[in-house]
Amino acid sequence: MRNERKQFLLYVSPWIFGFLAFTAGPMIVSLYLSFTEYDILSPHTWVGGSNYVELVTNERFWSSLWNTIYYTIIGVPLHVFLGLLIAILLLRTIPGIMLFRTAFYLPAIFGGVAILLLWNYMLAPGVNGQNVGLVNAMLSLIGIDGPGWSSDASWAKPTVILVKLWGVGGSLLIFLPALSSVPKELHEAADIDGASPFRKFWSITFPAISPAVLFVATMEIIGTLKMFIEPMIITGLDPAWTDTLMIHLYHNAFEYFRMGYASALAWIMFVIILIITIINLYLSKRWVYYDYE
Amino acid sequence: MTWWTYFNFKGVLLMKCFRLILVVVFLLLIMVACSGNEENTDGNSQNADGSTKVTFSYWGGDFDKARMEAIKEEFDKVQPDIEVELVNLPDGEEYSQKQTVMMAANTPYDVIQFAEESYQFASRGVLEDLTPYIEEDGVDLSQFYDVAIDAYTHDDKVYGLPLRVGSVIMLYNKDLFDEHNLDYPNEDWTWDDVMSAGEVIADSDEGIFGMNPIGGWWASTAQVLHSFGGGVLNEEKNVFNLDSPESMEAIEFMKEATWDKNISPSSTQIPEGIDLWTSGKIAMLIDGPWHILSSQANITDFDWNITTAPSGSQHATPIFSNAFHMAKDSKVKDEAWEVIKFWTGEEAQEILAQEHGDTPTNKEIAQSDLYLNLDGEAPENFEMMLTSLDGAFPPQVTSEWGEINRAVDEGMSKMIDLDEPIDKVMPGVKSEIESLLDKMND
Amino acid sequence: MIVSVKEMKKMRRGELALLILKYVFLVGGTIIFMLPLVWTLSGSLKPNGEIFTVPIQWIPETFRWENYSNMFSSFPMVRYALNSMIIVFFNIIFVLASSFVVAYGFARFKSPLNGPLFLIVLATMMIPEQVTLVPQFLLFSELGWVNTYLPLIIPSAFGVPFNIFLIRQFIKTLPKELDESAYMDGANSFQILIKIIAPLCLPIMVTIGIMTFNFHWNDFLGPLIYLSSPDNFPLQLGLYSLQGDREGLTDYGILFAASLTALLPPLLLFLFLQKHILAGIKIGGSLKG
Repeated sequence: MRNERKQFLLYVSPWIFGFLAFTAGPMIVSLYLSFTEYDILSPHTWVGGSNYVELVTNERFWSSLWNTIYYTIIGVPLHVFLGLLIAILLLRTIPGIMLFRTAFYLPAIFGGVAILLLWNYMLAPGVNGQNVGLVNAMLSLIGIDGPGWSSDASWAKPTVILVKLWGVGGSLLIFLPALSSVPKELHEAADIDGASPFRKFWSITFPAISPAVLFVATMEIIGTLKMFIEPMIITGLDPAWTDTLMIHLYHNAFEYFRMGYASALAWIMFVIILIITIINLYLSKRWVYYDYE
Repeated sequence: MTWWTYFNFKGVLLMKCFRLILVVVFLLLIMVACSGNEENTDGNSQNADGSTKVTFSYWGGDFDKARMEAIKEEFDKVQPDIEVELVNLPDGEEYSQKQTVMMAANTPYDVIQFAEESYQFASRGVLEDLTPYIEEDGVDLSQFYDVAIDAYTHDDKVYGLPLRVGSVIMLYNKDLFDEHNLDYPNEDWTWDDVMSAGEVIADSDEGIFGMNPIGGWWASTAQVLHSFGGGVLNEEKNVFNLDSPESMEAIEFMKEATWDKNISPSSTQIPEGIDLWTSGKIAMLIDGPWHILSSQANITDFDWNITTAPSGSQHATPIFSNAFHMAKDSKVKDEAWEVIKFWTGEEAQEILAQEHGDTPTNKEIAQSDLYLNLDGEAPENFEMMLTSLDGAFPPQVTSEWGEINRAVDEGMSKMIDLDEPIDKVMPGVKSEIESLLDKMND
Repeated sequence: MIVSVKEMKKMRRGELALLILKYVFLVGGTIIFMLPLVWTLSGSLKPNGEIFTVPIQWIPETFRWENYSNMFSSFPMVRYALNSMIIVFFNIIFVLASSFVVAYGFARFKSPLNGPLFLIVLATMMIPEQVTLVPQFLLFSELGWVNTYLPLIIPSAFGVPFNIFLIRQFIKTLPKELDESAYMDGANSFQILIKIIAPLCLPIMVTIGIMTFNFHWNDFLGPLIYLSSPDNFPLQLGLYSLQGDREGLTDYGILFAASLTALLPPLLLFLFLQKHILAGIKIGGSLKG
């Protein structure tokens, strides 16, 4: 038994070392800085809890928090659902499968500036059928009068979610292997029993891949709570509509030179993410089936 | 027994591959580490050949890159002992972020290009005051446009020297004016003239607008505000001034142009990225002079020209420029100064002049044919670039520029793009900016 | 159980309808997902002035192939791509080796510390990086690592939480009996890791390899912060500096051409390794017995 404990420590020691060296130190520093006024360039001064007080009285903190939670509650389930749906459709080898898989996967790896310009241009709402961006032009072809997207208070947040969903193909890397690992025999047995595809999915496929679903969901929750780039690209006409906590933090840290405040915000964010993740992992016990333990 | 003897299992080939990879990895790692250390000769910028290295960071696209390289080529001829390393970095917040962390670690670039954020850094004590260097070398600041030097003079100390300067100008589409038998705009035009011409030209069914959206960013906002006699802050930059009668008049005007008269599109209609000007869909474009270069390159199907930006109660236009600053923690200050001096000196100005884009900050060169003679290329009124600089003012920079600027942008966007009532938006903007001003005056 | 012929037919018809539906969805989805890329492709073949016109012009009037040759002269693309490759290569090697070993520790060994430490692994994923960035930078700068690839590579050698999590989940699904029988044969835990666990983990390693590749290939902030000389810049930094500070002064044609070219390596990697991802070896659990 002791030996097992020793071995455990031996194997995880690289991580422990890395954590202490590269993560724990900087985190403690940032915790300390959250109680100071610090502009990075000149020495910091201790200000006690005033950054935290300022935080809870700052309207922008609350609107960014609300936006962040909105993205998480609406966006993450959509992401998981759509990712799974696409993975199911792309699982079986059918003619043209390489093309389809590539098409859905490519957006997830398309980084860089070009994409920044692209979305604003494509989502231009236009007026009187003029100066209309690609998206609304396409919608008008099927007779839909497109919304104002990021220039419309009620559409700005959904727009961010839609743009993020464009990269949903990234989850193929997890879902495809998970789906392909579901034993065929089980499906065949169910076929013989005459189960409907829907039923087969719920009683066979889903339990089998539930750990993968949990993994994707967990990563998406963490990623969305820290979301930065999408709302930065397609900022709402009033940025308060779309800004996330991370954007609020970034502006304060590097544009306003308020690193103390940003550090306080980071710790609040950290605690929020931690709580939400723990709740998620706790709830997951009801629907995730592991074949160990 | 080394730890990799554990790999001695049946798959000999696999093991060999693995071992080979390991060896390669370690060799490469050592190489990376060594080559890195060589470049990171902390505090000792002496190169092997006895020359001194000066790092020089800037942002910009192809035009800027080509210009910087051309200047460097000339510099190498006269200063072979100084090796300049030009570093082109991404623009915007990332640029500030990069500079900030480099300074925090006491390893800044020696020469740094800054624009409006110059004061933010200078006021935090990380930039070198260039005044002693200027005095010692007898650099004659009067050969530069005053306004360009003023923009980088904070508390009577010159922190940066600029190479180029520009101001808000007006470009106009001659074809659209001809179509409606209107007179072309000239330097006497007021906002009323713009409004009445715009009303005639604007045709929302065709997607044609009188002018571009105004008030979308600091320079445009400042231009309109100041031309009505207002401003975000007062002259001493310590009192909030966006709610003064003059400023309010300017904001009312912008709202009227966007909503009541619908001569300029709001950002709800035209988000960033759509280039209405080049597509011939706006008659008047009131913005920076960089549109000249791109118009020359991209406009083929209509005639255009430039004039000064319209005035309200007065003619006023902010300049945009950027200047070369020296880091306080630079270890090669004398050499860095030589670089700054050369980069704003005559040879450099002449290289810039030949682009016929931004105006050289050296008045004499700006007024020479080298800059002004376009050989018949549009725009005809190119000298207007210089006229526009008369009466131009430097941006109202403060140590809290970033945050004030964002607060103003967001407030303007609510009032103009979303047409929210002024009295609903203004108090929030006011209290936010006033608390920043308080903080600054502490 | 006996299935009647009628039922068989009904099933086939249903399947056919399902297949058609599937194609409709896939083709529609492909169009939606590819449109922005097609637009970028079309933009990469246009001169600057024609890109942002309304209405959109899908096929350039004249194809401007020069954009693709000019991108090599407008910034040292090959050099930057090689730099990216170096960073990516070391990260993949280190990430795979270290995360695998650490995950094995978490997955297979009992210790009162196991739970709490694993929670910390999870928690470190939740730190907003922008804030630890400054202290981290100061640390690396003290070590003299600024302007080297070390800050971009070395942290990977100590296990990346995301990957530790993923591999741990995977190893936990492998039957423990495998380990136990190997112990009986006198193997030690490291031999089990290498001989038994590692081969079974191939698919997850491929997946992680791809994700690591993509992340570091596209990473922009890390290199921006830690690298100072252009000689060391990776491709993404080069792409960003293609964008001029004022609209109109950016050659978007070249920018788009370079962005698309930069997309090729991760794309090829995905295409080549697709089979391995789908090797059919289970990931993340399967039904018991």
